[in-house]
Amino acid sequence: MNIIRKSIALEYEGKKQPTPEEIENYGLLPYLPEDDLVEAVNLAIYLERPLLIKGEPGCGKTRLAAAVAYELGLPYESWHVKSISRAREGFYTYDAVGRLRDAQTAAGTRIVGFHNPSRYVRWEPLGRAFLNSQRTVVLIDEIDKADIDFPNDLLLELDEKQFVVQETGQVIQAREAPIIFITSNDEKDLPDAFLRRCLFHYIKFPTPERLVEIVWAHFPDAPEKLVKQAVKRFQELRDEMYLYKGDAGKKVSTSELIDWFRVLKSKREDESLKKLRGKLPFPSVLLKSWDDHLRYLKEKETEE
Amino acid sequence: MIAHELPLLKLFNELREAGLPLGIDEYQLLLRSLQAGFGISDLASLARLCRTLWVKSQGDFLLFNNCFEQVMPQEGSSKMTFTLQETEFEPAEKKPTALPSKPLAGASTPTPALTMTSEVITKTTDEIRVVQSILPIHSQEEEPSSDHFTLTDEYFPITRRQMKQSWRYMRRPIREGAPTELDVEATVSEVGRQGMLLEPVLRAPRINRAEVLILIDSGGSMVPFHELSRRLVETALRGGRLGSVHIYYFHNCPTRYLYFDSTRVEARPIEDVLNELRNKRIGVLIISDAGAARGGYSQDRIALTEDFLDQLKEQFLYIAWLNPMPVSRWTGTTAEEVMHLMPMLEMSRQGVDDAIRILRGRSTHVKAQLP
Repeated sequence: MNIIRKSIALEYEGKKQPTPEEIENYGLLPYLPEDDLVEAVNLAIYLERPLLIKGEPGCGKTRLAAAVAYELGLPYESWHVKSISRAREGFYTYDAVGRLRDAQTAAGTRIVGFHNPSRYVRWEPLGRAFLNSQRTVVLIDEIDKADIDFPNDLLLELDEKQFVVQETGQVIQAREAPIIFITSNDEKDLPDAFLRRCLFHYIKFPTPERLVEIVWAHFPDAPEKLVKQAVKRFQELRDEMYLYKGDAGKKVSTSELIDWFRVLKSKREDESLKKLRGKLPFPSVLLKSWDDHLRYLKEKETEE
Repeated sequence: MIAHELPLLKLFNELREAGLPLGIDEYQLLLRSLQAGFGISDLASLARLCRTLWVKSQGDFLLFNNCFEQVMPQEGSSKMTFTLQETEFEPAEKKPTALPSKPLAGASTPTPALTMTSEVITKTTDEIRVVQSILPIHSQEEEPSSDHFTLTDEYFPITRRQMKQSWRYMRRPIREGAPTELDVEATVSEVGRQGMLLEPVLRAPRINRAEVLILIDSGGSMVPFHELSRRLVETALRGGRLGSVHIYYFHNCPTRYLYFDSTRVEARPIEDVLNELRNKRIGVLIISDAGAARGGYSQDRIALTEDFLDQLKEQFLYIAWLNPMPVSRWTGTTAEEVMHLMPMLEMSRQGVDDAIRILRGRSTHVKAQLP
């Protein structure tokens, strides 16, 4: 099997993590994917299909793309979709007003640029990825926020890996098929035609052992006892939330665990350990609704 | 290519039958992935591969697991070997350099017959003979699992997917919010008037402001259709991107109160509900069998319904009635009378489409044809 795999030029392993200097200087963060996610990523790279990623909020959907780009050493573009986003804005925007202004001023002076319409095209993430001679990792974040037609409007461009700049008639053909990651919070269903063209992966919540590894990757110098205690306390809280809310409600997430641990670590070790044994420390990092505050803080008090 | 020769075709067909939206394209994706060496180490990785390629939601996930277990268990290891061998005969694709001729690590002790066929395959280039040698084994394999079936919950005359597609037509785009979009025409005409560009003209972007009021008959003869109306509501909320959806429940015919939930615990006077919905362009969709389920005829019910409909018609322009009973069962029941009061349609693909056309104000002449 390995022999065949070698023919694939790019392979993501999920092993390479940024050095402390890179974390410090470039804001990169370690990312520890599960094996099945790594497999899905490699499949998407090989088949040149977008990978649609769903999962609980805070489980690392958005961060995956940057991690893949980092490990493979590829350029990275991100496009954060808004409720008013249009599909075209992912490829280019056209400064029609600028051109009009230049045309007006040119009547008196000698600005000549406006004769060339392509001067006013500004490339956006997908456009830049198509133009780049290197394979580019593109993140399309929270695609479910936009209008229902938005994903469908992207279909043709992603399928044929080309788009047309309407204003100039220029056809841009992707030099290298970009590696596209799409995240969705599942607020709205995506159209079937779009889903058909994507590969799909659901990121599951990590196991407690994995959580320890993740925390450690972020804080390599953290004392072992503190990491384990914190993860244990976190897992208890999560289990408790699961009991009350089931699959539906918002539960504490990996990203919140990391924030919470950052606070815990900033205190003295014995102090933090002591706090972990008592009432949930620094609850404002983990509990985001008044209901949660009442329920999970009170629980612990009555136990004592 | 002959159907028997294709790997995992059975699983593919099962999933298609179960309602997963799969096509030839998806199948080819699988072939390509297998050829590249994905998912061939063991059965679990094959399942992961198929899931990544074919499963697009949590609901389909369960369906897939179910199908996979049914189709794959006994024949898993041997099929895997086929998959590999067959890749050699893919005419269009580039041949992988080194194919393992022995069974893979995960494939546990293949049957003697199989080992023989693999040899035959590797030596023969004639496709037909290869197929012939595989065929007997295949047909043996097909037999034991031929009597199973897949359970799917899409048994209504209209599937969730079709509902979603229909709801998508329910739109009334209105420009609203902060002006962020460049209005080129207005800008140009402004330039024409002023003689030069002073300021670009911006306008608000279009958003969907279509509003729907759904009134659902619940309890009594509607019990078998609760799931159907629940799905219609669910797809309206999740799939349609409507401006807003108001949902109320009633029993048989709304008289003074509408209810917030299908069990009709919390009530609200009809006047309150109507007063709150001042926009007369809100589409009103009534879901009720109008007595057609039990086949009864009640003069009282007709009168009550007429009163209520008059009240609605005073305020709203677009009202449609969806009846979960098929048209053929309306004759001689209260429903037959009610359908003369307003457009009543059966709850099928066509009916829902027509109802939404009415709610958009496109046509009010749609009428179901009694047999």
